[in-house]
This record gives sequence, C-alpha cells and structure tokens, in this order.
Amino acid sequence: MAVLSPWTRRMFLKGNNMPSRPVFTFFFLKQNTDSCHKHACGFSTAPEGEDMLLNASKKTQNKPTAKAVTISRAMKAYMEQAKAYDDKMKAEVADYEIGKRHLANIMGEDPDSFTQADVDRAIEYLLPSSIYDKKARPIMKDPYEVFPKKKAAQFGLDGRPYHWMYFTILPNYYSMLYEITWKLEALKEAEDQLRAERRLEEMEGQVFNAASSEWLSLHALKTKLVENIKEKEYNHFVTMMERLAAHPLSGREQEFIMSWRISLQAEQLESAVQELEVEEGGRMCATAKGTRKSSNAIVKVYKPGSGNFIINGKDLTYFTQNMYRETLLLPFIVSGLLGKVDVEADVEMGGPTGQAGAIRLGLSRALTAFVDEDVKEKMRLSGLLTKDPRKKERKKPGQEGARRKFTWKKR
Amino acid sequence: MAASIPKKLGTLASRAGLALRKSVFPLENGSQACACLSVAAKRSENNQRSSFRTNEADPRKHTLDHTGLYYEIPEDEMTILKTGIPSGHLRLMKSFNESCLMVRRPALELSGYLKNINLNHPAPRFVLYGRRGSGKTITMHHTMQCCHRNGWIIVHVPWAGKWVRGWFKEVAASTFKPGRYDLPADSAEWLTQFRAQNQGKLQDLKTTSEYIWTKREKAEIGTSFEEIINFGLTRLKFSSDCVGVILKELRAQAQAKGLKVLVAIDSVNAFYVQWNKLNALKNMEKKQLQPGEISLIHNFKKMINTNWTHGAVVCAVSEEANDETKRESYTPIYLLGQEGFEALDPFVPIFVPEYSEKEALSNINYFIDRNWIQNHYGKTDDGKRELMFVSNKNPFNLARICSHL
Repeated sequence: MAVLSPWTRRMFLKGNNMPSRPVFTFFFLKQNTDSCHKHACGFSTAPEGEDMLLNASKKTQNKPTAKAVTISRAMKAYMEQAKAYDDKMKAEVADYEIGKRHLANIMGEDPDSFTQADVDRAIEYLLPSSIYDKKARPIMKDPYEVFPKKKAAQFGLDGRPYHWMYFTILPNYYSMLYEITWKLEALKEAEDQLRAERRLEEMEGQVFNAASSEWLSLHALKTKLVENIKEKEYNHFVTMMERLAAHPLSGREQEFIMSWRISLQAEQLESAVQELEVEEGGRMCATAKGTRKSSNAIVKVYKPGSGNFIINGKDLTYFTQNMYRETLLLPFIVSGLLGKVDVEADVEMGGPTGQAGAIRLGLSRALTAFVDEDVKEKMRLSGLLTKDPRKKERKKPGQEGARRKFTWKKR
Repeated sequence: MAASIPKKLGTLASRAGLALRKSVFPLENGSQACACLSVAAKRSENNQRSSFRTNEADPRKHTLDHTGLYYEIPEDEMTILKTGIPSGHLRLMKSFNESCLMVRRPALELSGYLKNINLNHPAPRFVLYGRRGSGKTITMHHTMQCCHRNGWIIVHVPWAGKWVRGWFKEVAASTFKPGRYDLPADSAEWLTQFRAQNQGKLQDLKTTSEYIWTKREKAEIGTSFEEIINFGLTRLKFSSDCVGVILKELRAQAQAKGLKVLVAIDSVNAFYVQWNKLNALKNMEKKQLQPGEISLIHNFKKMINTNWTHGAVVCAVSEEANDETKRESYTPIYLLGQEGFEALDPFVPIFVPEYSEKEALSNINYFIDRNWIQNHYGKTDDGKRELMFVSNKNPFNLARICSHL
C-alpha cells in the first residue's frame, strides 16, 4: 500500500492548493501500513456499502470538474475486495438456501415456510451434541451472521475521505466527543444567560436523572461506533459524558445523553408460579419448581394451613441437620407466612444441601402467589427468587479433582 | 459444669452490655456457681401460677389436664431417679437449680396401665418407642417415680447398650457356667445403683436357696439381699452372679411376698442385636461376644420372660443402641429384630411422639422463665414459632437449639 504514496501526493498537488496536505499524506501512509479496510470503516454493512459506493461515485460525478475522473488505486483495491466478498457471500447465501430446503425435506416439512428456528431445531435433532459450550455445537445460520461484516469505503473514487475526521483514525469516536463538547458549551452559555438575567429558579429540576440507566459498556460502544476503541478512549468518553450529565441544565440534552446510555430494566420475575388453584373448601394451592446444584424440587403450598411440612412423604425429619431446616425457614420469615400455610415438596437427586436449596427456591416462588408486590420485591431483594447458578466443577485430567493436584512426590 | 454455667451467663451478660454482679446474690449453697443461678430460682416463687407449670408434684395424681406442664421432683427422689437421665438433661436441671419434668401423654398412659394391671397375671410388657430425642427415657423416669411412690421395687437398667460395647472393658469368664462371660465392673455398678434405688425396701428380703460361690464361701438360705450386694461389691469376681441371684430371688419371691417389681430397661434392643465388630466386646481369645453370652444380659433376659407374676416390664427401644447401619426406622419390630421381637411378643407398644404445639410452647416458656433463652427475639411469638419449626418440635433438638440463645 505504501506504493500509493507518490501517486496520492501527486494527485493532491494537482488539486486545489492546500498547504497542510503533506501532513495528511503522512497520516494516510501510516494508516495504510495496517490492513486497509480495518480502519477505513463506516456504519453500514457490505450490501449497503455498495449503494454508498454508487452514491459516492454519483456525488463525484455531479460535481462540476474539469479533469477526467480518476479512480485512486486504494479505491480500486477496495472495490476488488468488495467484489470478492460479495461473490463469496452470494455463493454462501445460495448454499444456505439450498441447505435449508434439503433440511426441510429431511425433516418432512414445507421448504418454503422453513424458518431459522426450524433450522435450529432440525440441527439439534439430527446432530445431537453434548458438548458443554453451546458455541461449539453444530450450527447452520444465515451467512451474514456467521462471516464478519465488511465495512463500506470511507473515501470517494478520487481517494478523498468523506469524513472530515477521517485521519484521526477514529472519526466517529472523535466527532462524538466534539458533539459532547459543543453541547456542554451551549449549556454553559445558557446557564450564564440565566444567571445574568437572575432566573435561577428556572434552572431547578433540569438536571439529567441518571437513575435506572447506565453508560454503554466498552463493548456496546465499540459496536455502536463500529470503531476499535480502547479502554483509555472509553474512559475519556465516560468522563466527558459525566461532565455533561452533571451540568445543572443537562436535562435539556436528555435525549442525546440517553442515546449513549442503556436503561436498566427491573429483573423480570421468572413466571415459574402457576395460576392459583382453588380446591374444595376454598383452599388455595400454588405449585412451583426449584433447582439447586443437581437437585430438582416441586413444591406445593396450600393456604390456609397449619404449618405442616411434608418432604417426600416424611416430615421435616427428612433433613437430619438443623442447618437444612434453617434453609427452609427463610422464605417463611421474609414472607411472614410461617405457620399459616401447608407445604408438600417432592425432591429428587443430589444431596441434602442441594435438596434443601431446591425446596427453598420452589417454596419461595410458590409463596409469591400469596403475598403482595411489596413483599415479593422484598423476597427478590433477599435473593430468595434468584436461582443459584453454581454447579459442581468438572474434574480435570492430570489432576485429582477440579482444582486439587496430585500429591507431588519427588521420585 | 459448675464452672461453665457462670461462664455462659457471663458471656451472655457481656454480650448484652451488662455487668454480672455475682456478689449481690446470697450464697445459699455455698458455691459461686449456685449464687448466680439462684436468680432464676427466686423468680419462680413469684411466678407460681405460670402457664407451663403445675403445683401437683405427685406424679400419681397427674391427669390429662396436666399434659405439657412441668412439675418439680424433690431432691431426695432425684437421687433415685437421676441414673439414666441423659447427662445434658441433668446439666440443665443443675443450671436451673431445680429438677423439673414435663407431664406427657405416654407417661400418663403407662402409669394408667400400671395402676390397673392385675398383678397375679404374668408380668405384662410395655415397649416405648419413638424418634431419637422424643423423650422415651424421661417417660420411663416419670413412670418410675410413680412406681417408687407406690412402693414398687425398681429394677432399672439405665442404658443396656453399655453392656455390649467393649471400650477397654474387663471381661472375665463366668464362674458359674463355662461359655458365658462376666462384666465385673458393670455388675458392681448396677448393684450399687439397685441398692440406692430401693433403699428401705430390701430389709425383709432373704434368699430362699443356698448359693455356693467357692469351696469355702457360700450364702446360706436366709441371707439378706444387703449381704448379697455387699458380697458382690467386695468380691467383684462374683458380682455378676450376685446380680443373677437377686433377679432370680425377686422373681421367685414376688408372688409369695406380694412384692411389686418394676423392670425398666432402656434400649432393650441391645440385648438382641449384634453391636458392630469394631467396638464389640471380645473375650480372651479376641472372639466377638454375642449379647446372649454375657451373663448380665442373660439374667436380665429372664426378667423379660412372662414366667413370673407380680411385676411389670417397661422397655424402651432406641436407635442409638443399634449399629449405625441398622437405624433406618424407630419401630420396635425393626429395632428388636426377629429374635428380640419374638422374645418380647406380646407387648403393649406405646408411641412417644414429638412435642405437640402446646408442649413445645410450654418448654420454650419454661426456658424463658429460667433465663435460659435470653435473646429478645426468642421471647417473641415469631421467635418461638421459628424455634418450633427448626427443631421440628423434637424435645432434644429444641433444647439443643435453645442452648445458645
């Protein structure tokens, strides 16, 4: 790519006289030592990129220019790459469509109405895999989901970049910072004006409310800007944004700030509780499932009751140690239903700790059917409705257990 | 123990930010430990009409109305009854400075049976069974106190499991019959206990046949029981034989003399079920002994037979007496095994349940009254309900949980 440089310089010199151009050339050179398309990227994906390219050429054609249209070698190289990519993707898409129809025939379903969800189901059925990591299991997906996206060209046919910050390497990122700064300056000006006019009371309550949302993560920001942003740049972004959000009039820029934040939605309660069943005599029953480690429990709670607790047909002596009974006590304490309901639990697999935990989770879920929203929220905050995701760690080869190594012996 | 109670009280007091003023309380019993504990004892005087206590100290007069209430046992009777009461329970009694037991339904049922039996019939047998810590032993002691007041002679085995376990125990070949083995220390201990439990009831009893110990020593006809016991205690070699003599004479004379004999055997299943290999008794050739080969057990098995009258047999079966692999159920038929069940059959089974709600509340209130529960939450209704839930209303469990509140 470095071969481009003399040509580029010549082209620059041919155009309007701009004194700072050699400096730009330097940047361009430096950038092109890396892979070309990596940094010269845009928001759009490959199929749209083609349109953009057309638009770009139209734009240049529309311009009244005296000289003949020359296509830069960088652009040529890009166009070749783009064509190769498009051809490849076209072939892949065709393969995928045929494969999908084959799959539909194998499964005996209608090939025309065979969706991606059906494909996934069919693959899981035909190629069952017990590999732990789901990413490592066989898949068949749309090629555009599988292959990395190609970025559109960031410069026109004459080799001039569209974006005025193209040579900063991170044009989207830096233009965003510019935007923040300008907005902050505008707010400061407005504040000064209000102060000068002694309308301070108007400023009250105009601060941006940061509750229930947080800044985009580094990864999310990378995806949004389609630029390879590093930790340092991300921290800079957060600092600038917080400065803006802390301004007394930041509420006016609510929409802009929120476009760089993600709102935290309240954790959805798992709808494990079924509808309340009403038995004869007006006795209500709620059923829920619970799991912990390898144990599974199905818990039925009856109200009104007298505090009976039956586990697998036995009473609480099913658990010989007090610790496990204390585990079961907590949902009752938080919900305030100790002695007011009857419980029947069926539990299987695992040891006493897992079984007690599974019953506790199922019990808490079932009890939510009998309490109001406040208590339910209290139970959620106590962690009663959250599943404990921990499992037994697998044994590793060459080791005695999950972590423990064999005793080291000299000889 | 005496040292540990003030320690506990001290730690509790310091936790609550209070200074325990030991010197304020009068030193009634002369020891520092009792000085602290007398606080609790004094309070009860003002609190005579509490909901968990009854003034009816005579166990013979207890009725179903008294269930769940505590009654106090006088100190002189405690010396007779305290053998066999679990050590933890005894420690509590000492801490509370009074010996109280709860009146419970199985004990009333058993006393009712004993009150109404016809003594001329062969000795009836009652088997107490229930979960661990549900109060079988205490039920037995309640009955024993009734019988003691009625003038019964008490033949009490506090814990039969002790006789089949072999932790550094002296085993001697029997002098009476080859192939049988004596436990001199255990026999002597039982003789002492028997003498203590039946003080004042044994003067009139004399042997009815001659017993020859050795060529030179023998017990003539008409030797008093006291002498036999003394002989067993001085000549440990014959102590097991002395136990056999006493039991045999009791069986023989019960009808003739109009005696009333209560045989109370705790964890009777140890007589029939083999204890595990590791700790079992072994003879001089390191061969494991069967329970029937031990002369003490052999003699007591005869007391369980129905071939004598003017007596009653009260047994309890407990899981602890069985090997760990044989504790799946608490029913007599499982714990006794084929042999034991056949030996005891027919018997009256009496189930000792865990506390009812009323009894559990009464127990917790008693602990609160004795300042054993000092945590404020433990005194509230919610706290009491939690205690009942976690302990599953099992008396032993409840006491264990309350011990650190």
